Amino acid sequence: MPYQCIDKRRNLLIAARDSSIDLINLENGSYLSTWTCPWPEKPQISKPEIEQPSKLLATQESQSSSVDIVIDSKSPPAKRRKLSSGEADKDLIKEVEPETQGTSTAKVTKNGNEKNQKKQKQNNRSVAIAIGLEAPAIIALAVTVNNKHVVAVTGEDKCIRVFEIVDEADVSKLHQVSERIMPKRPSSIAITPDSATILSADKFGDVYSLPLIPSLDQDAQSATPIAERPFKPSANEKTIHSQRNRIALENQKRHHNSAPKNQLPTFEHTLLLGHVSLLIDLKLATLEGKTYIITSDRDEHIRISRGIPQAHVIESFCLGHREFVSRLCIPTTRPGILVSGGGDDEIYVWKWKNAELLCKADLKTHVNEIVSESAKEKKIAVSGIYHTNHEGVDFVLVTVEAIPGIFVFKLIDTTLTHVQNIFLRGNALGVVTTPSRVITSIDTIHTPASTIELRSSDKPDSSFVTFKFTNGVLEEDSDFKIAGVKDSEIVDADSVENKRMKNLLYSIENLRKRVGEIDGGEAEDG
Amino acid sequence: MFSLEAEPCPPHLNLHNQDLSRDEFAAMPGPANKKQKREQYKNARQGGSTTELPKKKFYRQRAHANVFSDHDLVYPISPAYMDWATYYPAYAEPEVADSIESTTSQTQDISLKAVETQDGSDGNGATSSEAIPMKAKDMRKLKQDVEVADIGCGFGGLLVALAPKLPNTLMLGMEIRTQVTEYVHERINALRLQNSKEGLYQNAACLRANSMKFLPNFFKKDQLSKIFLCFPDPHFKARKHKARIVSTTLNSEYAYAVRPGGIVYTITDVEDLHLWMVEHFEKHPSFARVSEEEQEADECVEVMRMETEEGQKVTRNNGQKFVALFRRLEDPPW
Ligand SMILES: C[S@@+](CC[C@H](N)C(=O)[O-])C[C@H]1O[C@@H](n2cnc3c(N)ncnc32)[C@H](O)[C@@H]1O
Repeated sequence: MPYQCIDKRRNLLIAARDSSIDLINLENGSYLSTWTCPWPEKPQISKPEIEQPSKLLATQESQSSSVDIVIDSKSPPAKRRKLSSGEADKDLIKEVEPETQGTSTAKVTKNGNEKNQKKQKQNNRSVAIAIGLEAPAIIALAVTVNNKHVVAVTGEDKCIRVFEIVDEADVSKLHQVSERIMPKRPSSIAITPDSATILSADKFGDVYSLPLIPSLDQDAQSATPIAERPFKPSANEKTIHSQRNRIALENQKRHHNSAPKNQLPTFEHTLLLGHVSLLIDLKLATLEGKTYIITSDRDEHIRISRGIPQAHVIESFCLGHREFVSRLCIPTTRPGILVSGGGDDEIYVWKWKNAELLCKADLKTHVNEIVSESAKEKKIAVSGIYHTNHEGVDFVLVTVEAIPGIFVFKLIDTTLTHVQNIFLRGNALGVVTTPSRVITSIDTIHTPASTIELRSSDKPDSSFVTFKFTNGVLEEDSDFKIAGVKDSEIVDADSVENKRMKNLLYSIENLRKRVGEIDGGEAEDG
Repeated sequence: MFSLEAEPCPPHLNLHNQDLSRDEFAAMPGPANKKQKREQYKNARQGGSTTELPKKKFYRQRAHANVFSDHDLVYPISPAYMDWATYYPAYAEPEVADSIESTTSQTQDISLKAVETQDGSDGNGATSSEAIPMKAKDMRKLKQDVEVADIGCGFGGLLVALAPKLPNTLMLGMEIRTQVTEYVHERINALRLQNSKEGLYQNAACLRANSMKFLPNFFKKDQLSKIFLCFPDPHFKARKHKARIVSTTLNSEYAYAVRPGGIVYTITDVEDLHLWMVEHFEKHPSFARVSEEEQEADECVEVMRMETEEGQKVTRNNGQKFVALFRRLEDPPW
């Protein structure tokens, strides 16, 4: 399996493939250990979270416009789950505990409008995907500044997991120390410079902060000072005088009995800020001793908010993108600069504090230099922006979803200039940089530039490719090899595994607004 | 009519035309001849250059629009790209601005020269709500900024009553429903023509927008002195709370647009919604509730109570109206 996200900590490469995290020694490329996410029903997950799915069922039924998935109750627990991270904003499916359900099929409600049919289609597919799946996949990784902890997000269960990096007999391992199920699926996480707080941006548009290490006594009650309380419908016919409101109240009453109470997590978490849009990336910045939270969304916005405890103050918006903004990068050497990219043909460079656009650098032209003629018309979606400094020169490395290459730019003063295209044997997935090297994980199961077509399996490829600077240019470092991990293979392009893999590895382009599509499936139905 | 679908998005605007037809049909259930009647009626209005006030019945629209959906919305990429002069022609500078200062010279491809007219209108302010002016080439600056926003303005009662009361202040109604926006637009045009001698109503305008998503596309930081939230949709259901126009997180966006000292006005007939709004503004560090004394001394409060369409309905039904005003505080140092 290819590694969908990678990060590093000093000499440690932390690499997530499907629902496992491998640790690899970055000095010699040797394999160290693997943590594998347990199946959701195992006792690692505490009671409140287990209760959640059945409550969600109630929510769904009350809406009469959505579809519930009930997988055959005879199938083993581990095989029940909902669609993986990939389906981004189309995440309309809620998991259902079979114990609470007698039925065993996906049921579709009467209301057969266009939207429901769309949902039904997605859900039918997810039923297929749901069968035969295992543990939830890792969709985001972060390492604390003090290098002691790794934080990972597993998608299907919306879980933030914190690991301690422990060394046992000279071998680094991940020990999970906590898991917290978030109200909505996190899409991006960051950790404050003091290594004390996790910030999580979710698909509902909200950013929460939670302590890296949950304190025990606070766990009992929700310490969410600004969480929204349930709204009791104490309005009645006498207090309502407009047709609009009367209709709203009638709807409310109709759904009254099945409406669940707010399922707030029981651990400490604080709502810091929110967009009415799906959040894709979140970065923390520090400028002149002050911290800032930078968030990007599906509606072309980049928002600059103050850091904790003044995250309610919006400093500015960097507006200029015409499509979703999927990746943000603040060069460590240039903390006032923000490089952003998404569904546009260009990469943008900002002086983020006062929202000043400094330059735009064309990316599409360079992507077209490495793709076949037929793919030149395709839209691009930026999947990664990374910074590295080599001999005093700032380099910005850009990857594009389902494109087998890295696009290298130099950041000089306020201008981003293209210097090099790196060709890869597989689509670029993740990148980490060390002072001497650039390591990229590639898609080893699909053919380059494809998200579906499988490679012939008789020629196994290494999941990582390493580059080093030679005369200011990145060249493959074939001396440096990273140990491969033997893994299961996908043999059928039409298989549910392959579709799931596609959703896990290639989910960004799905965020593009399309004709006739409803945004915020979660926002609406969550 | 101009088609949003056929044309490419002009560089200064973001046009996300997501299924215009669906929205329009949803707006007009019933027999097709109803649609025809509407069209005939609207054509007869000579593109808005009539002094006759529009009739509401030709502009009704299903009550609730989904604020999370990708409507066929048109919005400027940023406030600098907003062509306000088409909305407030009487306040426009005579000269055409030839550059937008907030972008630098390096960003050539957003230079205004390349922008073509998209809607074929003459840009005299009589364009319909979807036709947020796209002639950035001819973009004239305003002598002053818009300072008052009526969010979810409905049929425009507040704007029309407030415009003569604050004659030197530019006010904008933002409304998500296309038909309703068009009605307000026609209404203001007719009033402008009726009162052309006195020059009244030149300071009011209305456009279609989803304010919950795109407020910062229209307004710069600290631009507004007043925001009105009159009789917002209550969204009783708990799971719909994010659809409410007042929430902790949205209040940060209002705080961004409103300058310190500015006021957010709220009114509703639903007591729980009132309590909700009070709670969420009061616990937001950027706002403090305005005292009742000061509230009752504010002339806008009476307008809000008596002149909004919803306010009038509540009066007819002898209902209660709950008012709360909140002052934007200075941000603490950072
Ligand atoms: C109950 S009406 C009140 C109209 C008017 N303020 C009055 O008092 O007569 C609420 C209005 O808000 C509009 N609206 C709801 N959400 C909106 C949004 N996100 N952006 C703009 N308008 C919105 C609705 O379409 C509706 O016309």
